[in-house]
Amino acid sequence: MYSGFLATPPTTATYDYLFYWYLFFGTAASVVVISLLVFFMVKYRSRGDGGPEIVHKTEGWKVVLVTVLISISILSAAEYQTFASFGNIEIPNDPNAVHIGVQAFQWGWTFTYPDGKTLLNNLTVPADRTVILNISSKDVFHSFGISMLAVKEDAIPGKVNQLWFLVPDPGVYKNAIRCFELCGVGHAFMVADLTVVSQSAWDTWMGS
Amino acid sequence: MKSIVAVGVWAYMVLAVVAEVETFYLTTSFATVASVVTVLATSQAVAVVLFYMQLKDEQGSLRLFALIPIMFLSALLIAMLASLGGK
Amino acid sequence: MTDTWLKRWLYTTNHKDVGILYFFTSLYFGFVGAILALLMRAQLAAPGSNLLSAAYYNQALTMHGLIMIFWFLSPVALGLANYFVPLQIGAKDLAFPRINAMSYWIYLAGGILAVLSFFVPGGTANAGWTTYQPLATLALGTGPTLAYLGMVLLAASVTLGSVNFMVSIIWLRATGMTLSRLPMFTWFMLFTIIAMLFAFPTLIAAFVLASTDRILGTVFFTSTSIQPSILWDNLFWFFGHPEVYIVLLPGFGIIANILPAFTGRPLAAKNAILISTGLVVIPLSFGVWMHHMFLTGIPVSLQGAFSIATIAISIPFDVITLSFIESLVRGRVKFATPMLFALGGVILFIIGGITGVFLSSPVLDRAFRGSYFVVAHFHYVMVGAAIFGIIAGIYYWLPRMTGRMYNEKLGKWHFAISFIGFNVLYFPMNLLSDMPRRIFTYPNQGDWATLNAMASVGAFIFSGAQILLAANLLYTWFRGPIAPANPWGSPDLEWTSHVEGIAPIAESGAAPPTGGWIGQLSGPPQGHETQSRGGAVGHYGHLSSRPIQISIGALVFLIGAAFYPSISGVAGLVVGAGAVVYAFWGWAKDDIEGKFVVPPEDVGDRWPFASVPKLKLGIWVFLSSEVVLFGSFLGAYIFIRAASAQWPAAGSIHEIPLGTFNTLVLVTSGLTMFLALQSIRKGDRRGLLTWMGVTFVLGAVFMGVKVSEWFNLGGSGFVLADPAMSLASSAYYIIVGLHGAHVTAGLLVMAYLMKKTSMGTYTKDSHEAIENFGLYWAFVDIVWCFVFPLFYLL
Ligand code: HEM
Ligand SMILES: [Cu+2]
Ligand SMILES: [Cu+2]
Repeated sequence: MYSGFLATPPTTATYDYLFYWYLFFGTAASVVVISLLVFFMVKYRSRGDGGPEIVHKTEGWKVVLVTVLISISILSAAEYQTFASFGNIEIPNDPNAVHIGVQAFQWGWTFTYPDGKTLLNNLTVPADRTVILNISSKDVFHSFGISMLAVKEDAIPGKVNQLWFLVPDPGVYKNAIRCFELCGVGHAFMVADLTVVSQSAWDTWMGS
Repeated sequence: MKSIVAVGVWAYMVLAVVAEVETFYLTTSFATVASVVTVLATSQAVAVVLFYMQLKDEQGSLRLFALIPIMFLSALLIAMLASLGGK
Repeated sequence: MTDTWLKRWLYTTNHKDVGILYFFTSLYFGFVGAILALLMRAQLAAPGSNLLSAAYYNQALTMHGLIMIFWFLSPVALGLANYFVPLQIGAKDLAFPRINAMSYWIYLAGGILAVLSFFVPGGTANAGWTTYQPLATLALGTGPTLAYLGMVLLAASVTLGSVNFMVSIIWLRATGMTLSRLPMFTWFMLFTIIAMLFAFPTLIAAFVLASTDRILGTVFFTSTSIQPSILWDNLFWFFGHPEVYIVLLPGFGIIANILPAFTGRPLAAKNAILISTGLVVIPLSFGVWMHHMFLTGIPVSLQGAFSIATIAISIPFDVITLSFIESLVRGRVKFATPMLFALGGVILFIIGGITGVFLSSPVLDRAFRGSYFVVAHFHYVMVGAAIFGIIAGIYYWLPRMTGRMYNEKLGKWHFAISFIGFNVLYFPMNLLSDMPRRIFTYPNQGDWATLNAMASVGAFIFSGAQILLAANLLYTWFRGPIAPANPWGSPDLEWTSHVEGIAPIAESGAAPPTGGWIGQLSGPPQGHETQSRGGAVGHYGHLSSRPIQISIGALVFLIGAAFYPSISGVAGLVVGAGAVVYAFWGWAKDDIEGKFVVPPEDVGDRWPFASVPKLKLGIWVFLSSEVVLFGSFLGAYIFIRAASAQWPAAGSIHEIPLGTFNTLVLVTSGLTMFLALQSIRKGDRRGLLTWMGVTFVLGAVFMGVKVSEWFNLGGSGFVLADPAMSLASSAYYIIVGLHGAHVTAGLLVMAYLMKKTSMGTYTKDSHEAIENFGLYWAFVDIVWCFVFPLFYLL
């Protein structure tokens, strides 16, 4: 997990909570089930001719039922947690939000700011304000992702997709933005920087 | 099945085609034409499958089997169109 | 001697021979795929490395995926199925032996196209196995075209194979082989086949549209006004998700099949496993594909719905896994090599399945999609579970295929090194969720360098371990000690019918198989024993040159298509089409002259399709997959219509009166075909000939009108080159053309049937061919009932 933030961005916080929730139950489930397998495998290993009597019936609905019940309870709890985190993927209705256009191309990103300015491979946003990106593509299918904020959305020609995030404090994050869908020979180098500036610096920059 | 029934099915098929075309000429509403056409074309398909392909005389398991692709396809069509909608 | 050896392998229609051909061919492709993977892992071993350029890396990546999934993983399973499904159900062969051989040769032809594609200027496909659009179509060149046409052939081969297996498993079971006694491998192949039957047609549709874009200049995936990326995603993943179970289930079937041999007790909760797989996994697998599209901008509600469906599909897998584990309880577990691979496969599946649950969350997917986490997930399930299961099957059945025993010690080493190498290779990728997949190089950032270096080391360990498999295969085949007839003490028919010391690979083509399979069945005996199906002459010696001829024709035709419109391309098209027609003509001639006869099968257990004759069942099964094929094309068309803002007004392009007339012509031919059938049912051969003649004429009129329509449309500017018309004309020419091709094929078959009628072949009691053709013709009629209003009236 990225640890360079002073105050954690909300999308990252939501993601972390959800991820560790899944990780806890996922690890627990795999440890329990794999241990069961290994345990039975060792316990019932063949030791010459002796040993406990072998069963001959195939049915075991009891185990099936228990499995289904446990699975349903863990999985529906997981799904509930996911739905409770949908705030990460639903675009907030924030009148104060900054809208920035993102156009992917082979191979780079053009960012278009509210005042019409454009920057190449540099996404500059104000700190502590909701940022909404309107993402599209000029040529082929790309995917716009900022791993440390746990946000990602595909950049698709003929279509505008949205994502949102908020970073509480200013900072410069080199190569924080990457393309996550194979888009040709330049795919590996399709990176961009994220620059978070203070509200006053943002206002000055917008005015200029 | 009697041949007369087959002729009846044929008459229905012809009528359905005529009805589709008539609807097209009588209205300018895309939605109306689309829904009439969907219903009639589906009914034609059912008629052909049941009578000319004689599915109605086949084993029930075969009838069920024939429904499987229809189910899958409907899922594909519906979700495909839904995926066009924005957020 | 060599002559007969060569003839045997080129012309064979015997299921064991075809199985062996599949087996070795797929191992060859697996080897090619592995080399490509090692190239990639060598390149990624260190940051900033320059071993492969980005262009070569992308080709290696794409063909690694395509070859491993389509030319190795599924075919190796089909090879085992070819060999063992007939043995397990007590059949002499598959239902349609020549079609089985044809499936193999078409599969090989597709593979040859894929391999050839490396060697044309510009190289091969480079947009990933997922072939995302429009990138894939914008990459010009014949290389990708060859590869995509190879995919079309492969999918055609799989469709034929599915029909064949489906009918075989239903129709050729020995008496007493009720469904409740069916061995698990056969059960799981049945599930696999059903998924293949309905999933692959969509793949065919997708790759046909992509190929016509490349060859004919249609614009399905290049006109960005219709969201071609979303269209492709839907078609590809509607196929793609069932496909991941298609590659998994044979491996699971093998595990379920062989566990009892090594635990000494029956499989636990067998019925629960069957219900989970057949009634939950298979149907639901067609309803989860949008978890591959969470980030494409689909509505949040749709993401939620598909997330629930995805998480639901993991429940049946929990049941299967836990039942496998329960199958150890109170048994006597013997750790022979097959058992090690089976248990190892289950362990790796648990890890891969649980990472799948992570991916089912649209919120978490914002971090994982397009990253190495996904790569880890699907290799744990596809390599870990599926390939480990298949390797277990190879060791388990090797004594049956070669008559000799493999080397146990070497096998155990093979397992140990594979299992360790596998985890060193793929576990680090679970931790690389911030690293994009499919990048050919990366900066020295965070823990990327360490984890990638580990993975590369693991890759060489894992693939090195497979040399032990090859060594063991060779050892067994040439040096292995003679195996006992039933080394595992299995109750399944393929073993109980086995005679010690027989090595079918070395066996000559002339020897008939053992006469019948009288023996114990899996499951507790319930009164009746399996009946021998002996008596009739085995058709072991039945050779046919037609399957390979057809496949060579198809290969030449598609190479020609890839080079169209150059003069050599056109020549390829003509020669290839000629060869295919010649071979089919020869096929029909063999039938008329009685040169190739499949001995009729005796009565057996045929529930639940007992009253449907074999060939008719085949036609129904085939048509049900054709429904999905046409449905996918029409679905693509409807999608395009819904996505595009403008469309030429109905009535402005196509002449509605003429279209109506033609529709009535085709509709009427449906009636006349039915009357033809009614005539022969009464034994009226002349009536049959008359009505079929009328049907033929109506079909010909329909095609004639179509052709004249096409000429007029082309003349009046309804062409691909006109930007305002390019989409509408793309859709019209390709989809209506495909229907026209079906009508034309129908006309050819009718000509053949009329010839046979005039020879007096059909009688009151024997006219299956007429009835089956009637089904096909009615289906073509139905398709037009949708095509006409969609293209003319809307
Ligand atoms: C336990 C059940 C499973 C669940 C819940 C699951 C879920 C998922 C999800 C949500 C994705 C999309 C990931 C993304 O692109 O962001 C995915 C990808 C994938 N899964 Fe699974 N999966 C399961 C089992 C399997 C099995 C059994 C296989 C194959 C044998 C498989 C093969 C794949 C493949 C090949 C991909 C990615 C294809 C690509 O993007 O290239 N999965 N899985
Ligand atoms: Cu990219
Ligand atoms: Cu999937």
